[in-house]
Amino acid sequence: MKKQLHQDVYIGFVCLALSLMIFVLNNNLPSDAAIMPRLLGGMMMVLSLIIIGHGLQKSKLPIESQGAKALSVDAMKIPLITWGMVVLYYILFAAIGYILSTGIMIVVLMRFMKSTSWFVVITIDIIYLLLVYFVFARMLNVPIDGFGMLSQLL
Amino acid sequence: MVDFANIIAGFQALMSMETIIALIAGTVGGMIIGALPGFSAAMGVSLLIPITYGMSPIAALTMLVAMYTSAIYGGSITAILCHTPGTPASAATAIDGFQLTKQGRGMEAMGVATFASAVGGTFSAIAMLLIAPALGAFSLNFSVLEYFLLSVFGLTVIASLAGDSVIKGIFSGVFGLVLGCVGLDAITGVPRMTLGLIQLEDGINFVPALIGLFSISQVMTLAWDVYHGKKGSVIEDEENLKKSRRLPPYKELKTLFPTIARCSIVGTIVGIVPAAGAGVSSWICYSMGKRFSKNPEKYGHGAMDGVASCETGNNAATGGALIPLITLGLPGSSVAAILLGGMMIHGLTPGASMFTKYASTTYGIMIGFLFANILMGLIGLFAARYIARVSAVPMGYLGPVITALCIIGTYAIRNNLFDVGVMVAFGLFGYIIKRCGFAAPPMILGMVLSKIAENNWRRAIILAGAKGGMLSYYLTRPISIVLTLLIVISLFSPILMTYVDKKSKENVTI
Repeated sequence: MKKQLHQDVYIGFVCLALSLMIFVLNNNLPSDAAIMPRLLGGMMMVLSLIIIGHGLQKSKLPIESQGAKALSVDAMKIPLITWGMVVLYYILFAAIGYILSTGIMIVVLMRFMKSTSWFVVITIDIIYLLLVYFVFARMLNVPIDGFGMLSQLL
Repeated sequence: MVDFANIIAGFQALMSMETIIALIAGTVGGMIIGALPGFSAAMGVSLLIPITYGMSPIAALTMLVAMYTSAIYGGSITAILCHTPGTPASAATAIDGFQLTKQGRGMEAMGVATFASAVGGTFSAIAMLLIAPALGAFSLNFSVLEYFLLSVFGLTVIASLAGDSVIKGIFSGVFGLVLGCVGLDAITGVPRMTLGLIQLEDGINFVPALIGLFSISQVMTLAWDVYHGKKGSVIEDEENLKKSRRLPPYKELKTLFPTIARCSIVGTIVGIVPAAGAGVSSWICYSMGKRFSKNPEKYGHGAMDGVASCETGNNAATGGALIPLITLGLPGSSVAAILLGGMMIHGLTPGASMFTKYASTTYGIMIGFLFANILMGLIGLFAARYIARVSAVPMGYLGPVITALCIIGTYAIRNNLFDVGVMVAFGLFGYIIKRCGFAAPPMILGMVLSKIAENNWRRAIILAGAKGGMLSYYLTRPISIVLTLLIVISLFSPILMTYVDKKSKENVTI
């Protein structure tokens, strides 16, 4: 019977590292201000050790019974690409404003998410932008395009 | 005692064009969000919060509570017509609802679900109008120690929001408390865990974090679904639905009234209990409906009272959950935790002030919630069939639109690009923790209650120092002792609720 460490063991160690980081970050604070974060850091540490303990127990099970891996390439690839697009969108938003960046992002992300009809994609894009412009820029006075490199150039 | 003067003032405050539009938008929006499989009431409310920034508190909160109750109802539309529960709270509805659809009575089942949801929600709104002011008046006796204990009481809900792993859920909640500590310390003014970033001195803004945790992470899941062949839902036998009647004959409808009445009461009580929620309530009511039914053998094969019982129960629980939220700041569910954040953003602090200084606003919100339930019933009766169609919209169209809404919604909060960055970062973080089995709602609850708990605790220590020590101070506060007992009971209530929920489900399957 093939065995391996359950993923919860690794997850527990990451949690433990996070708890230690909280201690380090609050190391030089006056005791009054540090007491709550340190107390919580301690609780997180105990919980991390329990997660590791549970993980070690689950490691005794055969690999097939341990369930699917949480962070496998299959589970992460597409979501990470999607998130990467969101990050690019954020950068574009800061650089060229909301209307232009959103116009581009909606088309790119819809195509990435297998929306095949160009007509529907473009129509949704236009309707969405008009609605957002009306609600946010006109009604709520949100300055959605008054910043970024583009506005400085213009 | 019923405060008619404030009810009338609240009603008048509600009667502005802004609030009426907010009420309608929240109700319809909630029904649509609820009908979309994978989209929860929590996500709908969190996406809506930034849009409410420019609104008056009464319009904003009315819109949010309308979204809350109608999203719970909206989940039943696809549960009945497509066998896909839109929200976890409508999982029980799918059992008999879809059987009725297969028998050609889908629209009648939809009509019963609509009627039952509206009655359950309206009943809980009336209960809120009667119970909340008394509870609010009682909270006048609270001092900092009681507020600290109340926030601890609120934190005991974490275990019930934990999802599959209680330990990971508690870890998530404690980490939320840590995130709530980021920023300048309220008493000493020292920056904590700001990593030298001036933008973090105000703390991590709660709304961008929750939009990221709930919405961006969901878009990432949708993308995965699209690449793994998951498609929108299909409405069963749509042609037949067009021809069938909207409600069963009155003779049959009349037989459902006792079930609806019973489940309205039980659902509201279950909603008030911090460890429960709409999901637990629907199962308890479904099980109770079966026990009291004259035809229990029909359950699971298309029982109309099965649909009525769980739909009354889940909507009655929404009003129930708002009672401790408004009066004591105790969120009974993940959506209630988000609503607590929404209230604070609009300058409303739960407690006695909600029934003194902000009485007209509070009553306006409660009456707005009542109207939302009635409106939901009226719209649902005529539009449920059309709303069900949104569940068939391909995810590839929805994901990008939601992403764009997340960005603009977050930016609109303070016109701050840093907030957008926080939201994007929390999106990835939310997806990873979800994959690793950590639930996001406890983290949100921790973030919301962190400052309340810490500041009141430290003030209580200062106050106790002046009164001869914490123990003697504590022992002179009978409310604190009662609250401590409630905390102990609440710590065990998830075990009790899990047992009740399990038993209810077992009764259903037998």
